[in-house]
Amino acid sequence: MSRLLRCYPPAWRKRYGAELLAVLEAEAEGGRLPWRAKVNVVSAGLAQRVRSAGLAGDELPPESRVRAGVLLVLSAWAAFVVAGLAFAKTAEHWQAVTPRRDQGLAAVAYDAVVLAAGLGSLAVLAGILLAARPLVAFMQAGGWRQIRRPVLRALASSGATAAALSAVVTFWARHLTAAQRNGGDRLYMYVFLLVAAGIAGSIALWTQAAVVTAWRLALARATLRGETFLAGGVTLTMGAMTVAATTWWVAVAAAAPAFFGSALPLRLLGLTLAMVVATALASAGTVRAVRAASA
Amino acid sequence: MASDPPLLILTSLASGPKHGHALLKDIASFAGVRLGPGTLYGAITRLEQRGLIEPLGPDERRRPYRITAAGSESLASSLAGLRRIVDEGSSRLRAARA
Repeated sequence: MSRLLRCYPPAWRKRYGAELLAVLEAEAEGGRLPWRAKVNVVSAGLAQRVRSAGLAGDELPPESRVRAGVLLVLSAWAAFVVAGLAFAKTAEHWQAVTPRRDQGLAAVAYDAVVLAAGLGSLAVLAGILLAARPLVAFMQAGGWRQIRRPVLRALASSGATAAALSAVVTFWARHLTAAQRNGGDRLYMYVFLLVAAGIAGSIALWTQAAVVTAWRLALARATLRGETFLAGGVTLTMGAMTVAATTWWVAVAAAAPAFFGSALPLRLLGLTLAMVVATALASAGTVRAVRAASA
Repeated sequence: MASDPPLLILTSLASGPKHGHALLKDIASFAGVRLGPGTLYGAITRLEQRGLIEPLGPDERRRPYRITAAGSESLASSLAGLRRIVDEGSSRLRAARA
């Protein structure tokens, strides 16, 4: 039963955990806890995590709610980048199999994805630069000790992934044919997926390090307002990329159905769903930040 | 509104301090609403943060809560709102039946 309490944030568990456990034991009456009570505790615990992170409710001050909204946008952007990388891999060589006369709409949509990705990356970079001065002040005040763990974890993960990627490209991929690199060699495909998982994991760890750091920075109201504006821009580019990527997919499927094979393109469906979910999360974060900024 | 967990908890605590399990049983008896343990503690957390209830010393692992003066005021205001709706609804129903 105490395992259910892990759904709650640690600080909440410390304050209310023992008494909630006593209630659960009383509810179970010496037997098993009814599944409805278990579901209720899990969902309430997750809701409490969302509240504690400043993403719901009004317990935290407006500045913290702005920060929480902006950081949700950053996290959604990171997830979108992973989906975007997978999309780029899927879209490789599409021009080679699509008749030139039918490339018009797909080419426009693909260029729109690339343009929106560039603009979104610039907005994220601007957000980082906006927080650069508070970050320097934080580090000068001895803040490194507080963020050392997540940053070192992210560094180790990206170092290991980069080494693995270089080794695969230098000693293996160069000696394979295009067909072998694109699914013909099973072992290569599994190693490639492992490296891709390493890249996704590194992005997640860097995002976690950024979130941990951002919560500790002393950000002025004007800075938070600027971050909110940029978060809105990032969300717009994510929406644009989702629409453009879907348009590209439909256009290529119509012009060159063989590109996706005969089966239902589950990978593309999954990617599109991931993009939609990430965009929805970013929109929620932007709305949260804008509302808190004007509170 | 009649199944609003904070309102039910404040109503229950209006008759004296109670711990979590006693709150669940009391609410089930007077309102016929079976709150989940997670829902109960989510509402307790928010009520405590707003200063509407306060914890007393722990009784083993159980911790009783009591309603504060601000909580009593909030409960009275919510009940007055409910009463207005009940009165208005009843009078409209009477008029419709007449």
